[in-house]
Amino acid sequence: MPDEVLEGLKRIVAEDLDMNLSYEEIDETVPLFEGGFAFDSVILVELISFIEQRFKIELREEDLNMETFRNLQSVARIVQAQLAARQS
Amino acid sequence: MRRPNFFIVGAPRCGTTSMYSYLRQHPEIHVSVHKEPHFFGSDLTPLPGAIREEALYLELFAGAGDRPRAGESSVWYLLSEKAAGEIHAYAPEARIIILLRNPQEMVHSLHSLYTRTGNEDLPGFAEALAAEPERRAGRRIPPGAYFPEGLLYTGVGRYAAQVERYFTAFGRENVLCILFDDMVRDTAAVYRQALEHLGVDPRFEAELDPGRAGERARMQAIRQLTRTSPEVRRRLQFKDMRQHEGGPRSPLPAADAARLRDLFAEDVARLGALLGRDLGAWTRGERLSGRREARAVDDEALVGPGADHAGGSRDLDLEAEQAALRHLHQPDADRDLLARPGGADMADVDMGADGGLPRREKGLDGGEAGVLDQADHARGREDALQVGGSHVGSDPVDRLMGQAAAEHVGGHDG
Repeated sequence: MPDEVLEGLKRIVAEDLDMNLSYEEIDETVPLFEGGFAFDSVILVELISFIEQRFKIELREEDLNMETFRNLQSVARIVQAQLAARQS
Repeated sequence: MRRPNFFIVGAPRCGTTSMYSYLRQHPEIHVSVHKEPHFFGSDLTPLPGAIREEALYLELFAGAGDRPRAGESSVWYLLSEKAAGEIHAYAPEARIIILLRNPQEMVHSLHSLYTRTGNEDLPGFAEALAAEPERRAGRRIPPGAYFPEGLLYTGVGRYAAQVERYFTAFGRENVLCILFDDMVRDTAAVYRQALEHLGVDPRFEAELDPGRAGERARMQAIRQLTRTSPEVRRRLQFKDMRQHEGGPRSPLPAADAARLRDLFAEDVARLGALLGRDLGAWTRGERLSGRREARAVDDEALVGPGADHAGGSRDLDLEAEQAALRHLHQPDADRDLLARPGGADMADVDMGADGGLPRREKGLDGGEAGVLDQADHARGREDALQVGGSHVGSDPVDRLMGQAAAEHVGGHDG
């Protein structure tokens, strides 16, 4: 499941977001914002929307912070936690 | 559909953005993600980014749920001769909040902003004031002007009649007038006053530091935007924002300041009578509280560096301290502006009290980043952001919320 989540997130960045990034170029440890992919809030809004659609979850208000969106690894942790909570 | 039931109606450059970010935190209050939709005010030039279609306007409040208050903050409603009546016809039970600042300071700040946004092409403030008679007749309007009404500075700064319109339309008890000087002196008390006015729990403790409040507001706004329809996002020109660069604001020459004080004296006295406050200090060029010994927050931080929206792009007025917001910024346009020469972001700019030069930057890591060399600028926290390549708050969400340093069309100041 963790790998599936990460792959899903990479697919979103590569295929759904207008970032001109290929799947192969996306490293989950690279910062999403400064010093990395240079996301801005427009991209972040879209990323959240696509995550919620793809994984059928709703990110909690308390998870919406810069720590969550540090890189795709940190995003994956939150998504996995929500998926796990749904299954339990 | 849920209609808004409170409105911050102005004035520009008077701290509306800060108040909005404080109110946004309250659990009983919903604020529009677009701070300044300018849905009302049919007598004014439609601002770029304004939302005039009711369906789209109401969508801004769709997320209010069962929160008792839902509102927005369009700063030109105060100047408009029609907005008060139009708002009252639409939401007769609404509560109104008006923020006011010494008009001499406000108009100077507004001019400074407009020279950066393209609404103004006369770089000298005295020159711009001298052009008013011609501009009133429709001449000498800059080709790039997007809001000519804002160029009639002395009219914008004559508050009394503007405030009176709201007293008449809504009744005095439904209109809260907040003086910027009071907000600077005791932000928490003024915030409580605003909460009481809105009838929500006044004991709620909000983050009142403009920077941290802005950071909270940004994530709330992002959440709101994820639940907003693509059409609304498109109308907000969310993806189409432009960065404006601007130089430091020149100090107002003493002679011009004196002239402005004289020009506004009668209206200030009339306003004082309306509010039951002695505003004579404004006419003497002083703050109401006298010399500020200890301020709750920096005054310019309350207004923001480049608050008013401007032609062609959307900007919001980000307070200087809204430092952490720089984590999200436009990839191309802003990177060079956001980067500090040393490579770190600016977290804060300490302007000191009026004339308290030099100012210093602090890095996000809390370390000092150096003195800003801006010796000719007596009081420009907002301008300090532009020095040495430092720049804060150029992210689209900041602009949408009225909090970006860059100017944008459709928002107008804070």
